[in-house]
Amino acid sequence: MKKNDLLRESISSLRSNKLRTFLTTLGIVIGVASVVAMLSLGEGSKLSIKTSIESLGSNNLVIFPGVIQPGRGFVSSGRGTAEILDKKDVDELRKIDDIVGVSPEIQRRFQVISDRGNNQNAFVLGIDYDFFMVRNVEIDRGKMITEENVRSYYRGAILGPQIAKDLFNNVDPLGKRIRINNINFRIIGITKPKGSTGFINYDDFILVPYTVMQKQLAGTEYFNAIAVKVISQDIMEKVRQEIEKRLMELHRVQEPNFTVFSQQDILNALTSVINVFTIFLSFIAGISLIVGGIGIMNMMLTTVTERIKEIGLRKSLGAKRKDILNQFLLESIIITFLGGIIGLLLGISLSLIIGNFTDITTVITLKTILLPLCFSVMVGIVFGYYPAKKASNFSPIDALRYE
Amino acid sequence: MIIKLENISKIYKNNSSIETVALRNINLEINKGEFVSIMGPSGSGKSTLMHIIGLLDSPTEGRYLLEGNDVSSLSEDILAEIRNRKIGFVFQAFYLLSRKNVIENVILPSLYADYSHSLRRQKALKCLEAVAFPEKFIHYYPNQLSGGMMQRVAIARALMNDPEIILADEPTGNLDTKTGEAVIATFQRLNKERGLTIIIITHEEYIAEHTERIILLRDGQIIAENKVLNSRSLV
Repeated sequence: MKKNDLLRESISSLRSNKLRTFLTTLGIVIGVASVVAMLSLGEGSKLSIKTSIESLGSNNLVIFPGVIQPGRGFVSSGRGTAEILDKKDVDELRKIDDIVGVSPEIQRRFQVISDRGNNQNAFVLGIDYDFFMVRNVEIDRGKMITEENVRSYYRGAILGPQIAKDLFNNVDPLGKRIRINNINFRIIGITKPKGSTGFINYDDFILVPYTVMQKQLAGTEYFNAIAVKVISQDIMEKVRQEIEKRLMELHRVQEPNFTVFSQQDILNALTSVINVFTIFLSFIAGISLIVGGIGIMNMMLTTVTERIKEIGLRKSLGAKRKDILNQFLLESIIITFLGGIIGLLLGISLSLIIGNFTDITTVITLKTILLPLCFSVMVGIVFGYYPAKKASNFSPIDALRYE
Repeated sequence: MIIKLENISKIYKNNSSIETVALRNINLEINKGEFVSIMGPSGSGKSTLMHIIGLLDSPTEGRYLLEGNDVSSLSEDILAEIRNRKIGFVFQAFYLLSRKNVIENVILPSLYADYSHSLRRQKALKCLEAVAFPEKFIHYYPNQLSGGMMQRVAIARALMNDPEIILADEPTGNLDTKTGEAVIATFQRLNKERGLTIIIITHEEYIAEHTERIILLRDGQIIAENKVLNSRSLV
């Protein structure tokens, strides 16, 4: 039987029972659409994590106090975990040639009141002058915190755009006063919106000189983290080793009592988590595709039983086993292919809608298109084969006599 | 000689291994261009015989020579190919596909043979003409046609691949006498004009009388073979 005849015969029999074909196709459409949507959601999350982490600076290393042991998270080592990194470490790091910026950071939450009476529990970050360069944070209006500000315990604060809006509504906060933990600060600048960067959203932060933070707000001389910017991404590993060596000497320890993270480490960790989620979600969506496949098998078995006489007739007119097998198999492949295409379009539209009308990023890649489409055609072959085989195995006489 | 059956037997076994003999030592020769009827009461084995002649079933014992070639033990696919080229079937229940119109039904056997698309249509129109099917109905669907019309379409379909043999199983069984006679007349004409070998299975004597030879079957055996001396021609 010629290929185009085969196609014509299969389409003609599918058209003869439009409602049944439609309902069976619908099962596949829903399955494929949900797999596409899930995959694009997964790809989108990966991308947004990647871009936000890269926006932090892709050649950054961040030193945290404490050690990470596999499976146990941060583990305290001797003294209070947080009391490890101090000004001496910062000075030591500044001596390393390949490091172009060192940004010590202390983070706390405080009650913040604006002169308009708005009251917020906000993140306050004590920073050094290198912070803006290391963390890629830009000033929209006003000034940065300078070396002089840090040295002179200047009570100036820089607001992220979101916290600025929360505290001052639509009034320009520049030059105004806020009270952080009952201490007055003058607002000297507003940062540019940066959005969430996976862990932290600087838009919500209030930045103050770290010296002020140490003496007047937090009452500690230790840092939560020290971020450093390395001159080039190619020497990250070398610099990491140098940092570990120097700080271990400084702390007089044999094993590091701190952890050096690269952005890549964080990216890898998050990506692997998202991968697990994507696979899990796609698996759930894939189940609906399999249920669609069972629908196809059910429909094809019904069709074969209904059309036994036709099978007998075709065989008596000269159809071979292969012709019958191909015809019925093609019918289920057409359904899954058609359902696959429609589902694909629906899934793409769905992910575009999600991407455009919510904060969630969705990404359509070749993988998100081809994987569900191939999977659905495979479902058609797998679930269509048994009914088609059954049809092709009827003897012409039994089939013609079937009542 | 186009068909030669030598000691053909067909024995069916059911699940509990009880044997039923449907045909017993059948010896039959049918010449090219002959118009033969096979008669017998129900259960006499006439349908089984037709299935074996039509290559829809294989004999348990014996040899079947079709145009001199032994076809008794060929594979299913080769039998399908021979059926497609050599044998045209006409059934009591017509077996037209309801979702296909007249011309598409006639074309059906050619889908399993090598035909170009345009040639098929021309050929189908000629076959419909040969059975005197009115042209204006060729795009009708089977459920819009009378029984007699449907049987004409079925005969046209049997002619589609230029077979040597037409096998008709109770072709008038679902038709009234007048329409049945018209169908038989069509067979007579095809037999005379095209020299087609036609084998009709019937249990109605008046139908058998229109053929040249009547083969009488009872309990799986041929009990008589009569030449019809004054075959009633309707053409």
